[in-house]
Amino acid sequence: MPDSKKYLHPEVVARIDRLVLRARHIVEGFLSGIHRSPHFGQSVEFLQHREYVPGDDLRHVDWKVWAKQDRFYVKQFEEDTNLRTTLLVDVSGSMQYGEGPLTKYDYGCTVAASLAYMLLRQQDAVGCVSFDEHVRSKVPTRSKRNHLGAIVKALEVENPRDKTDLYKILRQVAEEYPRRGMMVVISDLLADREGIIRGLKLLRKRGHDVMVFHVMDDDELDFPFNGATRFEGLEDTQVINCNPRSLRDGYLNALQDFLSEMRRGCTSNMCDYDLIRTSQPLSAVLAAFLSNRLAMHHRK
Amino acid sequence: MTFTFPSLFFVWLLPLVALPVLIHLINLLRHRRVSWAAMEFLLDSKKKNEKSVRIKQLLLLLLRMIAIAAIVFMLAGPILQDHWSRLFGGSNVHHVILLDDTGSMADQWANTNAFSRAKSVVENIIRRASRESSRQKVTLLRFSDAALGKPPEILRQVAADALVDKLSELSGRLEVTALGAGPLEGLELIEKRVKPEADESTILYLVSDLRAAQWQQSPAIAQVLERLNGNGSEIQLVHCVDAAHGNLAITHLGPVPGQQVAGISMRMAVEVTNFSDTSATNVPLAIEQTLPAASNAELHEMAALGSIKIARIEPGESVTRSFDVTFSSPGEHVVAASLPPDAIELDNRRQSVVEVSENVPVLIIDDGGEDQSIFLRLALAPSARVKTGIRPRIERSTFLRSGDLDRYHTIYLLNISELDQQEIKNLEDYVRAGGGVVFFAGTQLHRQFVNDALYRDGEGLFPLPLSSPATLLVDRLDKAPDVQLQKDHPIFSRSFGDSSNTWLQSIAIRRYYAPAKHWNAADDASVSVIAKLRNGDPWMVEKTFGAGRTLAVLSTAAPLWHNWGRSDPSFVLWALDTQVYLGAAKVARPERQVGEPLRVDLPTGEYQPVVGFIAPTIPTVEPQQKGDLTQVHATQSEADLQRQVAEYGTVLRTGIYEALLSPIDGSSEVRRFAYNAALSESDLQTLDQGQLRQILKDVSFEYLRAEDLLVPSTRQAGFPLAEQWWFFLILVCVLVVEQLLAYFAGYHRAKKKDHRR
Repeated sequence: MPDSKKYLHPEVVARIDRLVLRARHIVEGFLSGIHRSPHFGQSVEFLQHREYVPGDDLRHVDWKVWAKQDRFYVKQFEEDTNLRTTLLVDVSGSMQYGEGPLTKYDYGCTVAASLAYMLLRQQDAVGCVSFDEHVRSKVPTRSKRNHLGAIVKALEVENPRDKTDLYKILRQVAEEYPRRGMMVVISDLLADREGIIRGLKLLRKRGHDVMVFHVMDDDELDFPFNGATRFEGLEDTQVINCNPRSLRDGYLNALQDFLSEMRRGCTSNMCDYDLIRTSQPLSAVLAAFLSNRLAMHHRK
Repeated sequence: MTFTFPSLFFVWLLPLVALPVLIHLINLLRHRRVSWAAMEFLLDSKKKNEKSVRIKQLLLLLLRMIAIAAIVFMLAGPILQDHWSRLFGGSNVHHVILLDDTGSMADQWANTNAFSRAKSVVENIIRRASRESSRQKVTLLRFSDAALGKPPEILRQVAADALVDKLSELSGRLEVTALGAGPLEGLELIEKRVKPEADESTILYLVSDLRAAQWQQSPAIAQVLERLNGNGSEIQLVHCVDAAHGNLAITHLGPVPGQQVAGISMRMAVEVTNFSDTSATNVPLAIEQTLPAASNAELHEMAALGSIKIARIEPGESVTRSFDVTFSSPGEHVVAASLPPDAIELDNRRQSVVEVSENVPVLIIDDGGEDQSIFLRLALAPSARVKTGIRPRIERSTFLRSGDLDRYHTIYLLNISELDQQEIKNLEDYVRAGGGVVFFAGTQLHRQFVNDALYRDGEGLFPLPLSSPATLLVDRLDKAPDVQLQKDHPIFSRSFGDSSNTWLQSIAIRRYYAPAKHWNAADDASVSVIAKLRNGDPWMVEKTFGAGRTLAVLSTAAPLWHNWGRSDPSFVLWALDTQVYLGAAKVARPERQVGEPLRVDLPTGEYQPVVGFIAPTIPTVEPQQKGDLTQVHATQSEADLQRQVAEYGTVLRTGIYEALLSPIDGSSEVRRFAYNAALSESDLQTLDQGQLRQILKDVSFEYLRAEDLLVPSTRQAGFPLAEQWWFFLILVCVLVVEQLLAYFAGYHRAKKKDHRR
């Protein structure tokens, strides 16, 4: 397992140009180390036989095959789609920041594509909404294997714009995706804080499970700048000329307030919240997703 | 302030100080551009920290500019303006120099002395003033001139080359006097004579050794300085001594009271005082006297008499040692004591003139009756073989009327019955002039006469009024002696001071003259009862009268009313001591010190009215040379028409002065006077700046050390700032504070943390 993980570092992932390949690379890399679960889904549609191993449910043993061949085989069925996931990916101007191999936007898209690939691979239905100031593109929730292409296409945007009111976006999504499912928000959340919390609350009220991947760059979290620097806003025209070290403490305090508020807002609304650094391996995001999902399952 | 490299300072200071600002501006142009998403937090931080960041930045800029300025300043070689440049710069200045030339300025150490330094300071001031372009005037006054009331040596003269030449000529003549004087007289003279003019500023230099004794004892100095301050004078106190030096001084030399008779050993005392902070040990004291053979009146040679070693003298203490000396011939002899060389040379030698007579004439007046005089005469002059030096003359009371009483050291009046007015007047004049009279009671002594003519309600010679002769009743139960006396009194101390003998117990008094009942010794301060009887009545009463003393012994001189003198020698000792005690004023010579006038009194008609004074020579310069002879005409004394006075003037040099008198009989007479250094100049304790400020609280003055004004012209005058350790310390402090501030203001690069896993 550790060997496969080394291909999931952003530096490696960044070398793969095509997002689809990137997603596949990540997910395959991630899953290759995981034990195949003996629990296959329950469905009417037969998929295959498999030799019995101790621990398999005796209910699934194909007694007919045993009668014919005097061997124990278990029947496996194709599981029905029971999860509808919508990926809400922030593609606004602020996501364009990134000093490492991947910008926040790249990272977010990669995460989204990887999740989509993984979910489609599990026969789950995945939809996607990319947004900045408005919803830029929408992909309906489907579980077809070739649906990944549509999602990847939806993530490609040009001329990203500001995002000001995330509530408006989330309300629009809630209305357009009325069936209950899972909403995965991938964003840096640099917008009106109250609007974000209200939007998440709305999604929860509509019965969605909400998972927030808060993507931040290392520079944004650590503010390691030295020397005279001119900071130019990515989403607005504001400019600050300063000696960054003199403002670092104040900046980090304000950032911590923001992060705490976001975490508190998510937790109070039963949303899963994960702060993701763009320098983190992508497998961590997938692992977080899976563990969150398991937790949700248990909550239910 | 001047600079060794002024161009460095004046040309490069501003550009270099502006360097931090320039770097800041360049940094603004070169700044890194970052497209930033989380502007919200940055703006929030900026809003909160803007003021403190701005202050820190300004402080940092200031510190950096200061640091650069300090380095440029240091490299430019700044030199603080020395006192010269400050004093002489500018307008017309009148330099008033008050030069201390009193004895303590002879203080010498390390091949220099205070006075030569003071002279150099004066020369430097005048030389410097002569080089200035503005009008500079100079006044020079010595302490000695001021003390003697002489005008200033230089008064308001323009400082030019001529004055410098005059000064170099004057400098050779300027020397330390042995005078004891403070700055007060000089300051008062300056206040009176040197009035400030409209267009000039006055600087008063007090060039002195600033001895503590002079300044602390004279609050008037501060008042005069304050007034001078008020007149607009700037006051500079120039201290010419580096530190207080140890000094031993002979503070007294003279004969111990006793008979000063040729051929009889006499005792002299010498006192040495230690003015140091440490005790002096094994101090050798050399004693000299005039050669017995040198009876030549004009030249006297000194011969070593021996030496005394004083084992230890504690700081500030005086030690007195006595020695015996015999002079074979009568006349005025000189005894000198000297110490080894130390800081002050003048007080290491002290001389004393001892007047030795052929004998001590005393007069015994005995009007007969009981022939008491023989007993007293035998006590004073026992026989030709036992020499006491005393020559008693026995006369009747009529001798008092016409006799020359002044030549007698003491007059004893035994059992007198009566004296007439003239006799009493002569006797009173004699005592007033310093003579001593002893009255003995007796059967002839008349109470009425004593009370009315001699006592006169305390106005006369006799110390107490009498009532009548009385008997001292015998009390067999009382074991106390008949007489109680002051054992420490000079006339009793030798005979009765020692308690090991029983001489006092053996005195038995039978009769005495009782005092008047109303008399109380405490009423008259000039009277004291020095011996009294068992019953409390006085026995011996002393009275001071003018310069002399009288003593009333209320008993007989011979052992008639008592047994004193029959069985032990106490009466003889008493008589000899009484003779010394009462005759002391006759032989006492005042100790003279430099600064006092020398004058000779002559009885009119006995001497030619011209007196020759011979001043002492300086032994090291002109040994065996006779000093200058000064002829002085005697003038009529204002106080006494019978006398003439020849005045030599104030004495400025120590030594033996001789006055050559010419009696009209054609013979010659020499009187000698020993002038020693003033005692006040021996204490070399000086004042430091703090003490001066305390004494001169309300006076604005500047304290300078002579070194400050003695910068050689070859060296650039001033105080090189950049060579001072504290300057570097300040620079380092500025740099450290700058670095600390830069660190806290965030101008140091932080290590970039790697969060990537």
